Amino acid sequence: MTRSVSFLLLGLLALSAALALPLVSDSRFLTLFLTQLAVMVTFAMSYNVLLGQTGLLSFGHAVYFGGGVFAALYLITAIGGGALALPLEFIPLGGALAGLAMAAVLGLVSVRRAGTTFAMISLGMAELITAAAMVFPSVFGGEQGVSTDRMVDVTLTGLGYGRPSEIYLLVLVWALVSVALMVFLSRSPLGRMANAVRDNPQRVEFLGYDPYWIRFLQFCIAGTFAGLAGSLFALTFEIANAEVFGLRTSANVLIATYLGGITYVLGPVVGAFVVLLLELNLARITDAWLFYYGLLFLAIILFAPRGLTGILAELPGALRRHGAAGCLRRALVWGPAVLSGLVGGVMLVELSYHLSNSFDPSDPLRLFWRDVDATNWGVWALALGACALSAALVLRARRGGRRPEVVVTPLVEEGS
Amino acid sequence: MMTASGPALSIRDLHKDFGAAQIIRGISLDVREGSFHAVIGPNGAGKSTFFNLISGRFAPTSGKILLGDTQISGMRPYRINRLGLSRSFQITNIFNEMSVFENIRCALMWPGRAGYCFWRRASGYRRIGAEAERLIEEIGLSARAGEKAGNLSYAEQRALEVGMTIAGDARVLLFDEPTAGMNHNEVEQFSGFLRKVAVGRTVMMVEHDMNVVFSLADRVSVLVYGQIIATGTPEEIRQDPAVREAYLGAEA
Repeated sequence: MTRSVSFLLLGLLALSAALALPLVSDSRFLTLFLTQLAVMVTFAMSYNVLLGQTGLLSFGHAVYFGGGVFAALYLITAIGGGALALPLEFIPLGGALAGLAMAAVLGLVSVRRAGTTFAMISLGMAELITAAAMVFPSVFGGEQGVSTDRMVDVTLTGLGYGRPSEIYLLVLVWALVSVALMVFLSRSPLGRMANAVRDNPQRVEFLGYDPYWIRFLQFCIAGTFAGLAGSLFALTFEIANAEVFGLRTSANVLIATYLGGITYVLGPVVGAFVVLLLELNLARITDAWLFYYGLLFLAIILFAPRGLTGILAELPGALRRHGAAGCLRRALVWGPAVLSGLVGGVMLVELSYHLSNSFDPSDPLRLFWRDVDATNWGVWALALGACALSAALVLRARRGGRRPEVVVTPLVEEGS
Repeated sequence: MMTASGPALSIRDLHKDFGAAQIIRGISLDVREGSFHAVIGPNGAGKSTFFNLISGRFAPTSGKILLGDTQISGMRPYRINRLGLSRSFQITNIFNEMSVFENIRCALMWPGRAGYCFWRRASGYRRIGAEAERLIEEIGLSARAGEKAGNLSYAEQRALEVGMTIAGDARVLLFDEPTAGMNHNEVEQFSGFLRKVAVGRTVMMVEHDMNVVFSLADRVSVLVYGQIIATGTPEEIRQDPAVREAYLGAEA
């Protein structure tokens, strides 16, 4: 209880910092980053209404996001053209309604069963909607997509929303409202029973509740906020094509949510932050960024199923159990092993990418702040050496640390 | 307080087939209002299937089940539950990732009229919260109220299972081997608890431990190969030659 409250406070603190940042600095990159973060956080939180809260693994959440995107694009154009007298600030309500409508229709058939059946149906829906959207270029704009201009005359605040910092404010306010609402909903009777359905749908049936109806309502909530997130996306970028419906978008939100930690209400916030950071920064540094992204995802699934938030949340417990000295010793034993493994691994990946992808493999490759020649066997030997060193260190650390507590630290967290 | 009205539960010519296998072969039984009715029988007699039919987990192949005056055979479990029939499971069936308090609270949500409400906080339902705390105390888990249900000991999980079953105000309770897997002391303690719980309600129980059956039940039915071969007071059942032959024979 107190832990979730402190998480909430921490989140609010971070968000108020986010509010202040673009006012202090006028870096366009930062503003755009934070705007996208607000969109992604809303989207990932809505996804976790399904995955973390209700136990529904969806591969098609982008469908409802995309619905919100296109609804908003058309609504903005309608306002701009004078056909609609709605202030621009209320566009996200339109996106939310579009998401809700789609979820209400598609949910009827989707949530009959959980588990694999639901996952497969969501995948089919996503493919169906994407394909259908491609077939109607007059509505979804085909390859080049649909675009709009958010600088309309009808606004509530008098802001023009032409500047990135202005649209950021609008997006942030809606994202905050959405996150607060979703946290609230997770604590309602419906939210609590959704957790029960996640853990054991059969037992819920013997407590007077229909699991189908609980799943359906949660599905509608998730669709509503996904649609809202989509409209925030539309307000930010003013353009989209039918690809937003696709698996790429759905996979992205799944990965962000899982990375953050599905068992924590605000886990998706952390996940969205990390994914966006990787997407925007790692891609500038290396061509192999998707590879690393995938590796990170795998590592989280294998070693920290409660996600990055879980790691953060379990740190105080680990400190208490092993004491500061114990933790330091552990870090000294495992640190070099992990570090040399990372260095060796990154070198191997970068060298291989360079060899196979560059026009002239003997062109110098910038690797760890130095220019190296990927055709020179010496660098390869160095990389393999680092990997071998890491393997040796891991073996030694495991032999040295064969106490039961070392092996089982991760999942079972006692106390509080 | 017994009333002269009809039986709490009445079963007429109930059949259940799984493919070619006839598991329940024509059960007719009245369970009196306010009675503690045990169902005994050898392994594979169909006791659990019988309970699954009454509670709606399976739909019967044919036959009728009446809860009071309402025909419930073939209804979905949640509808039957809303009509006032609650059951426990032989294999512990709880919400592992949630706390003891939340487990009990979930069981009280529907009876407490929280329904599918999403516009209020669950903690705002004071009566449900207070009742959950009272019930947790009654099942002896107050010290563990904040613990994740999955982390409880086996006996504690059994207590939680029964706690979830008696939460709310179901008139008819079905216990499927409530003492399964317990040691002697635990069984003794637990039967005292069950006796307390049963006051003012109608209870049906499947149980293997004959001490528990004969100390708690005022009516006993013997189920053998999908049919009830005898129903009566514990004393009558003990004396019944057919029962002795078919079931108690080796032990008695």
